[in-house]
Amino acid sequence: MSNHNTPDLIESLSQSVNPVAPMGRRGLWLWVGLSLLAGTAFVLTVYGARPEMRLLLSEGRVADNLSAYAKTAFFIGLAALAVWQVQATARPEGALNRVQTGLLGLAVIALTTLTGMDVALSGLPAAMTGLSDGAPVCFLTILVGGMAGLGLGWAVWLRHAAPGNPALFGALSAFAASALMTVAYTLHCDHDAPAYLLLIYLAPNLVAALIGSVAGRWLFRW
Amino acid sequence: MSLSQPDLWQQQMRAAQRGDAEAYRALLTALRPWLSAYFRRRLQSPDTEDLTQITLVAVHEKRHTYDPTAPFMPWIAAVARHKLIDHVRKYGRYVHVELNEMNEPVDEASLGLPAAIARRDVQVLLSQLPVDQARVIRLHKVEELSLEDVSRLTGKSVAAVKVIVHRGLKKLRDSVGVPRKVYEDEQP
Repeated sequence: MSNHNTPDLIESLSQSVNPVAPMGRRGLWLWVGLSLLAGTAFVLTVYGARPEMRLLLSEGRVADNLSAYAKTAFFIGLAALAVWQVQATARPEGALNRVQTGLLGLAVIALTTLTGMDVALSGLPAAMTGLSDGAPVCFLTILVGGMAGLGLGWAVWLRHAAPGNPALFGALSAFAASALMTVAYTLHCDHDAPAYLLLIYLAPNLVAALIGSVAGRWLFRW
Repeated sequence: MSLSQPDLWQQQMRAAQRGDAEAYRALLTALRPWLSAYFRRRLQSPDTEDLTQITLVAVHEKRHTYDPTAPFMPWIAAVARHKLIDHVRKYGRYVHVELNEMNEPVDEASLGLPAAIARRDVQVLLSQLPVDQARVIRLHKVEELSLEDVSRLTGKSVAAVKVIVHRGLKKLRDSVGVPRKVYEDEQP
C-alpha cells in the first residue's frame, strides 16, 4: 500500500469518485421476497401443499383451522427477526438489536421448553414419533435451500454490506436464509410435534448459521 | 455560520455519495490526520500510514454503506476500528488502549478521537462484562480510583479487585481479538 504516497492516493480516489446510491433496504426485501417465492414454488411443486391447507384452501375455509398455520407463523416470526438483525449489522457501525436478539433467544427457549414438556408428558418414544419419517428430507431441504438462499442473498444485496463483524453477519444471513426456506417448507410438512420442529426445522437453521459464521469471515470480509 | 467538524464531514460525505470530487478530496484530506492520530494512539508501530491508506481505500469502496441521514463520526470510527482489528489479527501487533482517554477533552490540534466516540467504544466494551466486573474496571481504570478506594466502595478485598480487573481486561482483550500483552498495566 505504501508504494503510493497518501496525497497521491487521495487524489486518485477523488478523481475516480462516482455517484453511489446509499445502501437501502430495497435489496434486502427483494432478497426476502425472492427467497420466499422460490422456496414456496420449489416446495409446492416438488412436495405438494400440506393436506389440511390444501383442503381449507380448496373449500374456501381458509380461517376455519388457524392451527394449521401456527407453525408457519412461528417461523415467519423467526425469519423476520433474523432479517432485521441482518439489516442492523450490515453497516460498519451496526450492532445487534438487543430486543430482537432477546426475542430470537426466547423463541428458541420456547420451542426447547415445549419439547421438554412434550417429552415429560408423553414420554420420549411418543415425543420422538415421526422423527424418522421423512425427517432427513425435511432437514436437508431446509439446510440446502437455506444455503441456496444465502447465495441468492449474496447476489442481490448481502455483498454490498460492510459489517463490523463479518462472522456474525454471515451467521445471521445464513440463519435468515434458512429460516425463510423453513417458512416455505412448513407449507408442505404436516409434522407439528415440538421435538420435530426443534430437531428437524430449527436445527438446520442453526447448522446454517454455523456454516455462515465460518463462510462469513471471507464472504463478507472488506 | 461555520459548521462543526462532524457536520462538515457529514456534508462532504453526502456530496461525495453524489459524485462531488471536490468535496470528496476535501473530506479525505481532512480524514488523513484524524485517521493517523486514531491509529497512532492505538498502535505502537510504524504501520499507521499504511493503515491510514488502507482505511481511505475502504472508505472509498464502502462509501455506499454510509447512511446519509445518520451522523458521520460513528461510521468513520467503525471503519477505522474494523481496519485496525483486521490489521492486528493479521500481523499480531500490540494495540494500546487507554481506557482513561475517554475523559480527556477533544484536542482539536491533535485531531484525536473525539471523547464522545471513545466513550461510546469503552461503554460498548464494558457492557459485554458482568455489571460488577464492569463497575470495578470503570472505577479503577476510567475514574482512576486506587485499588483501596475501589475496594472500599465495592466492599471487596483489594486482592479480589485486582483479580476482577485482570480477568475483566483479559475478557475485553479477547472480545476484540487482540493478542496478549496489550494492556501493559493489567497484571494484578
